[in-house]
Amino acid sequence: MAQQPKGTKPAAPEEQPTDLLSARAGAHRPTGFFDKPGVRKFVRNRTGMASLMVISLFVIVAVAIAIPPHLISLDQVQSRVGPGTQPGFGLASDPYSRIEVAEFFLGEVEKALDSSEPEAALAELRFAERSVKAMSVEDVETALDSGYEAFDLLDEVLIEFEDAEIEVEELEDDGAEAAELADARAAVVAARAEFDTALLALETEVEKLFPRPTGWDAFVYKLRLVAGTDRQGRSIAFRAIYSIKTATQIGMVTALFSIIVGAVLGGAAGFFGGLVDHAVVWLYSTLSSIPYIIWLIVIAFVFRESDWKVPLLGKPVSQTLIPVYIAFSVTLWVGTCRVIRGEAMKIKSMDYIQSAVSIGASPFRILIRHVLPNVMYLLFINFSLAFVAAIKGEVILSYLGLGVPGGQPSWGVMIRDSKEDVVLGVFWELGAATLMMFILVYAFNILSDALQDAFDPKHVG
Amino acid sequence: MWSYVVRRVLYNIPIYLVIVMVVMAMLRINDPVSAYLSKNATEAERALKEAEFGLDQPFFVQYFQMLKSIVTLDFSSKSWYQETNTVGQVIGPSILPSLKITIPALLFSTLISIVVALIAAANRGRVIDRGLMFIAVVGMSVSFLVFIILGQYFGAFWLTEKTGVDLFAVRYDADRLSGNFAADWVKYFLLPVMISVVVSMGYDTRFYRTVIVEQTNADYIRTAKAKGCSQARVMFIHLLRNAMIPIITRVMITMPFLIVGSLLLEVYFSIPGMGATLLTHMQNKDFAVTQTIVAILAAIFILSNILTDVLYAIVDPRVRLS
Repeated sequence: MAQQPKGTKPAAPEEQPTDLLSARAGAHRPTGFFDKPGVRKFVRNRTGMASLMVISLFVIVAVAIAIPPHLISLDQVQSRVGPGTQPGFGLASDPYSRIEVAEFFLGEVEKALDSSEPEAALAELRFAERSVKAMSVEDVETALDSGYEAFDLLDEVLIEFEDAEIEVEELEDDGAEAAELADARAAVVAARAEFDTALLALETEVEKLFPRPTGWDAFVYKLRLVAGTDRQGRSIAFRAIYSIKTATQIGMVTALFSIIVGAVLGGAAGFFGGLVDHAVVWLYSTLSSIPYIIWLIVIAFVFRESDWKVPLLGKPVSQTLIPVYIAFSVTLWVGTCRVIRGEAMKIKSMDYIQSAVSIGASPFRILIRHVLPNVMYLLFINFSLAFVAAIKGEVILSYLGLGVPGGQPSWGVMIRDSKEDVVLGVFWELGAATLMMFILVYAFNILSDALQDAFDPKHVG
Repeated sequence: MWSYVVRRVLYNIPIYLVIVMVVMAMLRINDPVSAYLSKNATEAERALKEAEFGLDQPFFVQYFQMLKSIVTLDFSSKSWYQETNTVGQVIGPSILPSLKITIPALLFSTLISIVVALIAAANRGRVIDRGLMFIAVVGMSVSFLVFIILGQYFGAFWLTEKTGVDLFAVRYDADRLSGNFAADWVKYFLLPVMISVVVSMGYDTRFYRTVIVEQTNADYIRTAKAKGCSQARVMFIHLLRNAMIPIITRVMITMPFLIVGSLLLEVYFSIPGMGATLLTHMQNKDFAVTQTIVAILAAIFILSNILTDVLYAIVDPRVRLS
């Protein structure tokens, strides 16, 4: 009779030892959600709570991207912000990379002027928060000319600087006198100073054409460039953030599906036994006899040429995430189902279930009131396992060209795109995508460990 | 014992029959012939292609023909992509390269993980244990693909460029094989195997450590110690044998991941294994090869399941009775 509903409302979270003492003394024992021993233990686990917060943050960002007003829109992610393969973080202030950026902006303006309708082309020229200042075509032409003049000057100064550096090296190799060496070094410093002024002058010229954004825009612009740009000159940082939405979408859909189906079928199989049990075990043995990658290849083979349009979305099925959902859903529920089935079989023989049966509780009531609360933590753990499996599976599928369809960024697509750059020593895209994915997956791993610590009495740490 | 084996085989046969049926049905949802032929193929060409592969016959006739070819191992229908070869000639040579990755990967990852898990469990709660488990979780949180990209970069490219040690090849090259089996294996297969081992170690060590720690607290270990067994005897004779059941389960659970992993490694290192072959032929709309490879992979998988069950029965006599 211990499991009779008490009808008490969830009490406020209390962690004072006094409460425990009174409970031991047999006084009123609070039965709210936060008073359960497992929940208490979980709330006290700092790393577990921290990982829960990280996951919540990711989900909030994903929701903010998905619902209007979009935090980041797909257009923003796909627009260019500068020249391709720019380094991120501190390395953007490298002089060569600054020259490249200036050259890129001048080149783009020149291209626009050369087009058949320069005015319209200039108006369209826009790199995220930076666009061409509103002025007449003639003014743009003069500004461009002075920009190129500054560029030529910089070129000369750069050659001088490099010559001076070579001079120093040669002198060092020849073992020249100290005085001579000091002179040469002073020349390098002077050339460097000259070079810096010339570079600054060039950037000022470029800023006359493309004014730097101010205020909030400036912050957003900096954020865009913080992790550099990819081959097409798109912001890596924004692509990595937008991918949170893609990952959460795939993870949520497949993990929810797999725990719901796994819990229903596993619970029914374990609790009712007999024919139901046989049917469920047979079903999951059949489905899990083919690895999900093979399912996916088969599904991709089927839908590749399909013209069938998905209702509501209005897109052909090969352009949606549906094949990915199906492939993961078909296999991921099996793990949950196995665990829940085993647990339900165990719980079935417990005394409190026998008591519930003897007082005439219906099977449905027993499942919902007595079995479900006792397997809830398993569902949470399996949810995080399925989520992680889906996110990691997405990377593999995207690499094989079967995952997220064209246009939509995802960590898998980013990692795939970056594999040629790695050989050139460019790690920005790979690093950004891996880091984001690592944080989320690591948080889920820690969370499932914390859940197991708190709720599984047999768990050994 | 034998009755148990026969029962397991009989149990798995209907499962396999359904898998083949489901796969064949799925592959026919979208007409494979019109996907293969160009849009402006005539009706006669379509009919010819259908008749060639027996697609014009009722589904169940095709199904039994497929089953017959699997049972008799006769894959003599023509491949659609490499039209001069039969399906058997396409698939046959791809089996060995796949095994060269999967078997060593399975062996090494299991052995190394168990050793690391024993070290961690013996030092339970100490810095070594915590450090190892932290590394394991970090390893679990990084994508397989990142391990492959970085593994190839540092193992094959960076190592050769910076230190001059030309140990691993960047990718498989059939024309440059030396003919020496061991040397070729090290050059072309060891790096993928190592990557595969590193990836699965994160999961495996954590799992084995839990199993071992659970077993260390068991009564029979205390008894063994009490009667004066040496530490090594307790660890390797008493504990490991009892830990075998979860370990075998684990190996079985790893199998699908191994297939996924070897597919990815094969594609990345252009090793002509089964996974890479399947993917190439699938992308070229080769219906015949796709269907056969999926059926074969499912068969291998089911056979490994039966093998696991038999191993269970050998290790734990109680299983036979249930």
